[in-house]
Amino acid sequence: MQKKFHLKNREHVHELILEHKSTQHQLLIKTDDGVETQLQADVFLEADQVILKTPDGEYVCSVARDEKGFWIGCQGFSEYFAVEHKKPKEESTLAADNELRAPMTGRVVAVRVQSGQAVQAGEVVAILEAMKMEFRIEAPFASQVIQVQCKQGDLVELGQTLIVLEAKTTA
Amino acid sequence: METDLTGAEVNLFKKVLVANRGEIAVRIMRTLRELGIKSVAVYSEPDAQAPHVRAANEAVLTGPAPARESYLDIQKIIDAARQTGADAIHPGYGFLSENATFAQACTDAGIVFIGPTSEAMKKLGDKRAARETAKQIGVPTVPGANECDTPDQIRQAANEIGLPVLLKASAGGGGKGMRLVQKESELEEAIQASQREALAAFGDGRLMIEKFVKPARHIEVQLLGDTHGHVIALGERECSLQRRYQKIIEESPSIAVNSELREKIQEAACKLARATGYYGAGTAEFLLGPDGNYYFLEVNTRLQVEHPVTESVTGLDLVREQIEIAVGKCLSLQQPDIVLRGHAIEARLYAEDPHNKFLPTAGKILKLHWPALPGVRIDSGIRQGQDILSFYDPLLAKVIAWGPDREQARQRLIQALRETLLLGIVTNQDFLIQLLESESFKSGQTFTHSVESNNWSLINKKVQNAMLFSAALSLGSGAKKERLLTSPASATINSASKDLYSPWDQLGYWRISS
Repeated sequence: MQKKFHLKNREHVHELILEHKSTQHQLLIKTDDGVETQLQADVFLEADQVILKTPDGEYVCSVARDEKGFWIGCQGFSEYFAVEHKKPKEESTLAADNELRAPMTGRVVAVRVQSGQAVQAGEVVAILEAMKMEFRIEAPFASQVIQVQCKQGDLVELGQTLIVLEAKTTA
Repeated sequence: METDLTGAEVNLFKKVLVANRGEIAVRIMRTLRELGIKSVAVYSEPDAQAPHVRAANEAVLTGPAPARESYLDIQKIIDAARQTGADAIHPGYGFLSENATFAQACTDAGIVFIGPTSEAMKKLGDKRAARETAKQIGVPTVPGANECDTPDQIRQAANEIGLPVLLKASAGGGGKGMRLVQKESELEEAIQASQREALAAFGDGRLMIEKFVKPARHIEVQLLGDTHGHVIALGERECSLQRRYQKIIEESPSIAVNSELREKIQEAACKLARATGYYGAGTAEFLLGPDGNYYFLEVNTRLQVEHPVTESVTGLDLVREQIEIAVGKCLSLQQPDIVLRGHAIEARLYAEDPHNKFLPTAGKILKLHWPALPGVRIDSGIRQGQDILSFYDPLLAKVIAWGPDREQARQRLIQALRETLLLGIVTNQDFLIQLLESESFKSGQTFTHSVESNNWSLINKKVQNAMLFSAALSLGSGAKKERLLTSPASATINSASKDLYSPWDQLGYWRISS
């Protein structure tokens, strides 16, 4: 059985796909910068710790939850991961990538396009800022802007639609 | 009733008020307990459940959160001592510990101030006065100028000394008001900023200027003096690793100090104490230049944050020494009795973000576990469930490791920090580990600029992936998680979890071997 989660730390949104085969657990981590990592581990639960035995070595992780996510500690490192809730509707429309969505909760720093405008593949259409980092929203393909649903200064939630595009039909 | 070396009987105090909070208050109370002395804590409103309050026999509320209305309010603290019948006040470090007015107010109220007299404090605590004293008795100081009240004087002094120079507040330490000036064009702005900061921090805008020594090591000598005129030195500490001019890692002895140099700086430090009639614990700070020359900086007329490394290598309890000095006992040790054994390193665990300019962080401590390892000492001022507020110094705890040599102490400290678990707030824990693991620290190449001039990468990808794995397993193991993940509006993680600190109440359906 596959389970999918989204966790956000200060740098990235991570899509996690967890699979469970007998004693082995597999995890695919897809980071929003395009990096994919495949991990596998034997998992043991001891007191309040998760022990992962991976081909890479053993990791003992401690977990503390709060309202929005997890604090996890391991080998002297600790980090906070917020759980990103995808709305059911969005899950089903994920395929519709003519809608450009916010890849993280943040502030719209700039909107570079207007409704009706034609854009090239890879063209930056908007810039978001969160945690003092900028994230550029690019048009995935040559298209026409149908609707702009945000403006400069807006605070937007992760997954919120920012710009709707329509692919150019190149006959 | 105890007797001192001269056979005179000396009463220890019956009750001591600790005018501080956090790890140092807890640490002082530990020694008081050992000595059979009752302790009184003072606390501000948000600190009502703080560890130092719990560690004390009695506690007195002195005011609201801002320190000047609680921990810095001299009258309220004296009143608290009177009300509880305390014979003495231990000021710890920071807060009122170097405040001559407070020391005098204690004396006037008939309460013993555990520290030097207010006069000795004035003579040595003011950097400017201390440097004048040092010059008079032939202790070398950094080339610089003390008489720098106007921007004109500072400019002139800068020209005479030659850039780079360091501007400092005359009145206090802690890096406040300190500015490095490397180019002439930076001088004007630095003078103004430095004066602003000095005024804000100490109510005193006087500056001093000195030659910037680079690469420099920060070396300090621990002193003990009694009321009978005896002064001894307990070796040196090296505290070169600093960020924002505040120390983060300290050790004793210093890799850069041989026995010949140790004897020289110890003698210089003792001379300063003798010249000013200083008693109590104190620390003389020096800069050690690349040429082996040392320059006196200032004296801290109190217990230092990093005193445990000296305790580890000498086997002494400096708070006990302070108390015995304060009741008028003779020092039980003479200089030849002081032997430095092995090596000790301390790391300061701060609620601060190394990814974000080391700015202070706040939050609730959700989980806390300290390691129990050979040679490791934890001086902690926090507990699980505590809210860490941004009103006070962000120091959470100190982790100190002792080893037969520097390398073993280093390895033990790294292991202790790795096994320390503190969840719920961003700390500098991973940064400390990385500093201690760095080649430059390992080889003793520690200088005052080391932290700022290195690019530290703080992410260990493998560990982070393991963390993500654990989070996914936790999320994926609960019966309620389906609803949780598909309907964020109706269910949050917290509502499914009764105990905020236990993530495992949802793990019932998850079996390793199933």
